[in-house]
Amino acid sequence: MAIVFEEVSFAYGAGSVWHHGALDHISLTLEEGGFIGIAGETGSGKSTFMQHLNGLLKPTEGKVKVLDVTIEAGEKSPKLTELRRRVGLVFQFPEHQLFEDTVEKDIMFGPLNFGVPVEEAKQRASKALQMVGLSDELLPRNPFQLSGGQMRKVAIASVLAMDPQVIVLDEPTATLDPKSRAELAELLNLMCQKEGKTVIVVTHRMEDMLPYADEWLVMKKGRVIFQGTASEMVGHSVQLAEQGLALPASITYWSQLATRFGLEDEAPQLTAKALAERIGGVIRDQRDQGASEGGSS
Amino acid sequence: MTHRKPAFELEGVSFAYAPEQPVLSELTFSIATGQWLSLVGANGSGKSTLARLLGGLLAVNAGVVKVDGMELNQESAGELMRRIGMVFQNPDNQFIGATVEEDIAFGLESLCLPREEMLARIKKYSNKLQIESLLSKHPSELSGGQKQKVAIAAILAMEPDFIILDEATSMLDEKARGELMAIVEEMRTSGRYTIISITHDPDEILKSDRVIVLQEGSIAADLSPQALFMDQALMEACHLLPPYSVLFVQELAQQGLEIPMSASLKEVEEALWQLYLKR
Repeated sequence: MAIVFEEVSFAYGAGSVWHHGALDHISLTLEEGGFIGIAGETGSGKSTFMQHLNGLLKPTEGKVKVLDVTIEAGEKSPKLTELRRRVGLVFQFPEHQLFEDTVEKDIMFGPLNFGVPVEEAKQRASKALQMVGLSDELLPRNPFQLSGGQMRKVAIASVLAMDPQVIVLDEPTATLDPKSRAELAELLNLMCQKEGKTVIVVTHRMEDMLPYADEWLVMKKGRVIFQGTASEMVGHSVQLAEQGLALPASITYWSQLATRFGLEDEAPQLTAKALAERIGGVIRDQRDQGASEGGSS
Repeated sequence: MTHRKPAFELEGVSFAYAPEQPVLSELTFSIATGQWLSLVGANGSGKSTLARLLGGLLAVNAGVVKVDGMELNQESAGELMRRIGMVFQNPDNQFIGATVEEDIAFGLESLCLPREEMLARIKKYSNKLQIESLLSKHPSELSGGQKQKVAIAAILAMEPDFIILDEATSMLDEKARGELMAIVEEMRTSGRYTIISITHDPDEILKSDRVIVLQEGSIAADLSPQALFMDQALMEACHLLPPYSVLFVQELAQQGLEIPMSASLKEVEEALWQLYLKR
């Protein structure tokens, strides 16, 4: 089952009009097995949205369906333990979800809590750490003595170790160095493609996920103002920029050069390499044409 | 011209949280007053630890740190730290007040400023960072990016001489990051701040005056941002990627299209269009 939001609103304080981070009548469907990016300004409700995906927050209006669980405003919540195993959340500040005195214990905590035997939990911890690009040497270390970037990777590993069906990450790349960022995006893509997991990434660095995300949501003041593919987003880039969305350089470069060279109707080239090749091709064609015209006259 | 002392001087500085895991070894360098220095390196290379040593939050195991010519030690720390403002990765760790306004005021109270001056500074810096509408809110009501703006406003309001930004912009959205960069640039132009910024952001690095690259606790390079982006082996070693603008110009060169590296999008577009017309 996909993720379905029906007229979902969430207010932090009752009676307030619109409040930073609130949700305002969101209706949407996200397909299972997709790679979804969520963008939007600071305070637009992205983090609030993601906390609805495993029942950490309950809608104050409307209905949220995740996998086979339905959470409805005003109704008693169903048992959420199973949902929380199947939907793994990685928060914005990783040190908030670390608490044990070794990295290994921290990663094992989730699996043990959900009934995985100790030996298997240990194996999972080591495997998850490897997946995020950290070495086994860190297992006995105190997570609070790691660097910010390493802590974040441990937090991600502790969610991966639970083998969730849906992985939701809030700004996962924020404190990672660019190489680790690219590796994480690659890893998430693999989990999506190879293991059929649904990956949802809240990010203000759209460029990190742009090569992989099948679909994007853009949020503003608690509403979803855009849902579509990266190509569709390029088509709406002027309107989205007017709405205050800061577009990644790859999109602004494409838009501006596509307009100049008359390529607007083509599929956008959103990497530096692909764009350079496309523009190089256009210029070469023009030269060849010039040369042949010059030869025939 | 009067000789100005460097803002920071380090000599043979080493540090370890546990003896068997040295974090920084034998660092010697100085930072000129008024300079904007970027401190870069892979995750876990010792950047934040170095920032804490410079800010007086950690004490060196060996070596000497001098701030404005004075050795940073237990006796001098109180006086020197008053002149150093630090902004961290996670703004939650630096909130004290019950409202944003109180939080900014708290730092100012420690400077024993008169009330009018405090109010004037709160007004000036909340306006600068466009957080006036947040002043009466509780910090927990703010999103990550908003918190970081408040933390930065609180530090700037104390008008320190030395500012250490430990990935302060990493949680901000593109727009807020741009606004903050404009503020840092203005601070540099004013000439009254020395800025040390730990960052992975290529655009931020490109704007700074100088880059020190840390690798496993040692200085791997000390160079200009342009020189860093040209050195692919070094970029690889410190896990950095060039900004899209540089990457695109490099890819164009692969296509036989030569464009200056520091060109803006507008300039690139114009240069390409001229190549197209030239046939």
